[in-house]
Amino acid sequence: MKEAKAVEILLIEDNPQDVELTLRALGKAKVTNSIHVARDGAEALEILFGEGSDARRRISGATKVVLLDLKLPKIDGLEVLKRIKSDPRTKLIPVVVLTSSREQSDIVESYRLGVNSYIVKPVNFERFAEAVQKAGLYWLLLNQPPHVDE
Amino acid sequence: MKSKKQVKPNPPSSKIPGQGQAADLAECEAENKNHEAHAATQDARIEKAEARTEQAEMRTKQARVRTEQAEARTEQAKTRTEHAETRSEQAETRVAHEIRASELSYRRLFEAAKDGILILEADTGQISDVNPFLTNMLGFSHDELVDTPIWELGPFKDIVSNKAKFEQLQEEGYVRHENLPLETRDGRKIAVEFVSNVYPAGEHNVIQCNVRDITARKRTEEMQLRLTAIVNSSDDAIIGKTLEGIITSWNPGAEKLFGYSAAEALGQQMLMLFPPERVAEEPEILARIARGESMRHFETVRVGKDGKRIDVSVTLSPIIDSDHKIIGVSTIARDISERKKAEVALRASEERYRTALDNILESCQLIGLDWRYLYLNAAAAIQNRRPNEELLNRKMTESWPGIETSGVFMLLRRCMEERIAVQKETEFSFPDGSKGWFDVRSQPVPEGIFVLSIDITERRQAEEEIKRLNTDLEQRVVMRTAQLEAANKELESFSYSVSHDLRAPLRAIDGFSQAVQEDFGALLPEEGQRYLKTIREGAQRMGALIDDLLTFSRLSRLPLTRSAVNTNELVRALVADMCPPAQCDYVEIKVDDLPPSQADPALLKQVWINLISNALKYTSLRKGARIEIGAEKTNGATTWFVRDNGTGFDMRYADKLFGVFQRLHRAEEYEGTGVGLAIVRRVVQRHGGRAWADAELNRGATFFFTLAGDPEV
Repeated sequence: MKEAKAVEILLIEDNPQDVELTLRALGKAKVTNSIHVARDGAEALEILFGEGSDARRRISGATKVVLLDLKLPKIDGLEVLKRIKSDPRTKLIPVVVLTSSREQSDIVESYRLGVNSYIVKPVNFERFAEAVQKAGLYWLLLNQPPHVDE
Repeated sequence: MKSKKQVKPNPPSSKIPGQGQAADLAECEAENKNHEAHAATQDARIEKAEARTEQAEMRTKQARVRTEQAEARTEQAKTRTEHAETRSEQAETRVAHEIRASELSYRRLFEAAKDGILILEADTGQISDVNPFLTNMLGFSHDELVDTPIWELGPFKDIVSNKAKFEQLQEEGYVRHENLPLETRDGRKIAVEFVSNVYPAGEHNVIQCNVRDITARKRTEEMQLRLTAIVNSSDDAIIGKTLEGIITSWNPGAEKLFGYSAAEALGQQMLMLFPPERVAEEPEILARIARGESMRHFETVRVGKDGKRIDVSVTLSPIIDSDHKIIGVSTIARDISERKKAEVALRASEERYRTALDNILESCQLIGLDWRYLYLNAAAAIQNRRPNEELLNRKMTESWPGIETSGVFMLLRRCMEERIAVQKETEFSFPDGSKGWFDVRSQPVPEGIFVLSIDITERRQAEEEIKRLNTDLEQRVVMRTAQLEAANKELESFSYSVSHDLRAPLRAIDGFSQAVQEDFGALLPEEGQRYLKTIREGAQRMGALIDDLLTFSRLSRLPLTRSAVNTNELVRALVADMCPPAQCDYVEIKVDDLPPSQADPALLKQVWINLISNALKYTSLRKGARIEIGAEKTNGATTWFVRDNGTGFDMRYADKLFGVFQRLHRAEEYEGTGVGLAIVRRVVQRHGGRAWADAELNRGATFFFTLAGDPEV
């Protein structure tokens, strides 16, 4: 089972400190699901849609939630969101935007593209951890995804 | 009557003109003096002396001498002999001689008379004799007339159409027709004076008819009457005088003009009308007229009866008699004082206008029908940029080569040809290449056209300058707008990076500080733990500052969309939300009835939130805290306010109140970033209103604001 453990949480975040804090928050919440971190938009899309290894091919099928930062190198978060939500293979995967941006335009555009949650990352770590944990747990544990025949 | 016929032929004498006639006349007159009676009244009626004498004599019936004479004429020599016997030898000889002479002279008169004479037998109406003048006048021969009854002769049918009429004529004895139309043999109409007398000649009566052609006289008389009427009715003074200057005629016009009646003037010296300084004119006038010259419309001055001087125009011409001899002077004088006065006034008026034209600032030009410059004023020389002497009497087209194609010329040509007033602002290029703008107005006048033009070059330049500046300004506005838009974009991306990038490190500071606390807290002394806590507080405070700053920036950038806002509902909802009764028992909040407002709902809401939270914050430490929210109307504009009885502030620092990050209280007293009131002021200003405060330290503060565009109540 161990070697074949599927990626259940895909965290797309370029800031290593934010990555570490996010992982810490999830760890504290006892989330043990397998987590994969993509450091930019291009890498995220490669993981989701790339034609490379078989292992990566499996990601899309098993991914339970995508945590997405908007401000990313190469391909930005909104573009990634758009690709996820416009592809039949990935459009049912819940996407939570985790961002520092409170810009109305970002929020509106995200929901227009079909985001499932939009979370503004607070400076205060406790509140940040709380938000991450709630979002992660909700989509991982409580949400009942529809069954899709592949 | 036979005897008369025998005597009649005397062709030479009948044709004697002029002097022969005069000699007869003299002879006749001499003879007449020897007879006793001559009716003066009859003399007067007939102009020509010879006829008059004969007629008068024939008409007289009383004098015996005349009877004898008549007998003598009819009885001829025999009768004369009888007479001679009754008188002394001497007397007889004398009388016989006289009768012979008389007979002869009457016959001569009869033949030579310039009146037609007709002798009729009274009982038969037959013509017994007719003189040559009458046969000439009527166009009948002597033989055609003699022995014919008068009523059978065409010309006389109108007078005596039959024998009965003729007899009636006889009974009346004397008939006179003043103006009788007769027709001559060739159908010519003539007017005659017809006088007939019946008188006895021997044992029977004869009728003598005198027929005078008065056609010419009538014409002359009519002419005379007309002329007299003209002279009398003329307003001009018409005066006749002799070559010596004595007045001989004086019409009513003269009386009216000079004041002298005809009676006063006739016979006087014309010189009485001359003012002293013009007395010398008279001899010259007389001399010139005597030479046969005329003087027409000679303007001079004369003096009336009242001594007043009169301006007159005099026309003088010689009076010439039938012998072409100059016998006097005709003077026609016309009063021209009114005209003179009018001329003086006109000249003065012309002078005034000319002076005015000369001096006005607009260029005035009079251009003749042949395009020659007739007049140019001083301003024209300046506008034309050349002296008027160069243009006067020269054609416009010659003076300005190539002007035919200019707008000015086309305008003027329209005025000249269509005879209508025109006006246009037009540019003119001078021969030296310089240009000017002119407001040209032209109107047709009898001489050609009158052109008035104003140099508007400066005005046009100013207008061009304004146009240029406007275009410039517009360009600059476009440019600035673009710059502002770019700056706004920059600011947006700046805010974006602030919100995203600046907060990430803060999160790291805060997050890892907490990680240290959680993971290694037990290893740290108390002092170390406090430092970590301070680090986290600093990071969080900076996060709050960044958030407020971003809010402030966003509110400044967002587009303003006004709509009607129910302020009452909005404020009451906010109070209920921000201050639920359970948590706000320390403060009494009173909300007045608030009028609606015209504002951007989201931004207005932010204003009220900030002001209410401000009031709540600064009353939080007071017992009996009160907050009042209301509106006042002054001069039709609504002023909103939030009043509290909280901490208040010192009015000396009031100017700092609305600045970004400006705080009047220490952080440990009241938390806050110092952005709330800055947001209030910014939003209110964006609505065109203003915000201000009134406060007293420890007694509370009142914050006011207005929003331009509040609806009138």
